[in-house]
Amino acid sequence: MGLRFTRRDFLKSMTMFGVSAMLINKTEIVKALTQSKDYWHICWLNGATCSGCEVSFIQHTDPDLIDILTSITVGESGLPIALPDYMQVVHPASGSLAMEFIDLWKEAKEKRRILIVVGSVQNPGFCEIGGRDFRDLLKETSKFADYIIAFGSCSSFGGIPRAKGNVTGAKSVSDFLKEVGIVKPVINLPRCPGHPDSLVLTLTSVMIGVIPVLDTYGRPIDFYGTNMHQELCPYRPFYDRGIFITKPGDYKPGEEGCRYKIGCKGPIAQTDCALRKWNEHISYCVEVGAPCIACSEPNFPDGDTSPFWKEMPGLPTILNAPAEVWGSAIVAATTIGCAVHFARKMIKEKKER
Amino acid sequence: MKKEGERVVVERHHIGIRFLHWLIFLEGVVLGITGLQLGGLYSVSITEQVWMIHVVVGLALICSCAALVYYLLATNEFRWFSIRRIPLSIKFFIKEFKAWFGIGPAVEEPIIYDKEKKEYVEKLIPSVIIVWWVYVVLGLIIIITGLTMAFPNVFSFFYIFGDFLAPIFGGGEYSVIRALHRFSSYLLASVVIMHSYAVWVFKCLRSMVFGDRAEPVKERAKER
Repeated sequence: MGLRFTRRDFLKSMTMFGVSAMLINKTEIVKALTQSKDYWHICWLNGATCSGCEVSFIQHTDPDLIDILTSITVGESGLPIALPDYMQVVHPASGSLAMEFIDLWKEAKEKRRILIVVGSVQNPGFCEIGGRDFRDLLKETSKFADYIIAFGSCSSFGGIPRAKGNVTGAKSVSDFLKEVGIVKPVINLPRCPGHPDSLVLTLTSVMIGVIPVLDTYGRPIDFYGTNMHQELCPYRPFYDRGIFITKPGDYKPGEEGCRYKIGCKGPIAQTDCALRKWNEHISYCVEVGAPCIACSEPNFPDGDTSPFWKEMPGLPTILNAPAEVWGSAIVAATTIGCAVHFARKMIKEKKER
Repeated sequence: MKKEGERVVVERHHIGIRFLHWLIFLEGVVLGITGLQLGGLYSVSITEQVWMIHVVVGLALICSCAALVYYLLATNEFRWFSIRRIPLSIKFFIKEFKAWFGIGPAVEEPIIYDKEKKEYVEKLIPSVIIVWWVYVVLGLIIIITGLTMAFPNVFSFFYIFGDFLAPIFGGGEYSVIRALHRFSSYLLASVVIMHSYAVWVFKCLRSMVFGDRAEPVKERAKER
């Protein structure tokens, strides 16, 4: 996986990764790429985020970011096809100069402006950038954006900042846009952090003129169309055989088990992590012994995904007892009832005799 | 207790009914055990093919239940389980309940056979009618939730119910579906235990094995 791809190889790999699935045929890809030979302008905004998504994106490999910026150029100009006009955590400019880049991005050619948002949108006053509220910044840029991509769980669905108990009113980009009356589709690329492949490939597909097919939550089905537990998990055979590990780390090599009992949320996770993997496609959460926390899901980190490290919750718990405990109690009560009746019947019959 | 009257040995359950009954029982046992292993409950560990067995036997159970219902309808036996007989069943169940706790008289055997017409006047212990419909309701819940978990892409529309119930019960759609499956299975197990015990108390077990039973004969003179 450490091979350096040429531009041609990269385009081939796009096809391999599934971009072609978003097109009708390969002729269209060629046609689309020919048409897309123009600069693309990216505005990258950060809301309530830990910046993990940026770190994840920067570590993209095959091709890495340098390759993308230097090899995929517009004609013979030597300029990259995608120009990151504004990116808070990466660009060297600062202060008012940096903020001016947003205006430059807004003035860019129509149908060539992509807005990437990382982090959730909080109530006024909780997040300010360059002396401006993040909400105003997002509202303004959204009006100009031709394509809006929410990268990571926070911008896609609210993520960790939106977790129960938060006081900031954190919400997703699409919810915010609805709130302020902007009707524009948002491509959600959740996961915590966002997977670099999903962003690079989505950008590529947009640039070649293909809008990914999205599921009901606005996620491209190419990345989020498979169920982790049902279709991809390498530990699924252990589940099928009823072999579970019950404590994190409580297993030896060769004595593996399904992570379900230590809180794996794979059954509700629509993600291709098991195929795509992380850090140069080497490994991912479940493979290193942790349970999947379903960070690709809209209710993460609440709902079914909470609490972490605990088997998925069931029906309402009374005195912290789940369905199987109440079920066991009912079965036990029935058995005891029958046994008591049997004993009384025997005693009665003995007396009658 | 009722004074022992005349009895006549008749075929109570046809071979087809008996076969399907015990087939369903066997499938239920297999599903129960594999279900416990699949859920990681009580450290049950029987086989390494538990998922495959659970799903395949589950599908076989659906077919067996469908065959049983068809058989009952085709032989007109289903009339004994008619929904219209549920009030009678409830009344009888209350009597049984009182007798069970010693606050009412012992329940007399309600089964009556008409020797002259060679047909049953009452074939069932009426509480079985409730048991039947409880089996039907719980069975449907278990089948639907089971299919939804086993084939989520095919039966994804059932997640709507999970989605609807999730805010009421807490958790999310999947855990509600799974918890319903589990809890209904436990309830079903309880009903099976009660059913088995009642069958033993009313001495009906033999008829489900060998088919025949000495049934109380309808007293014509008294009737006149």
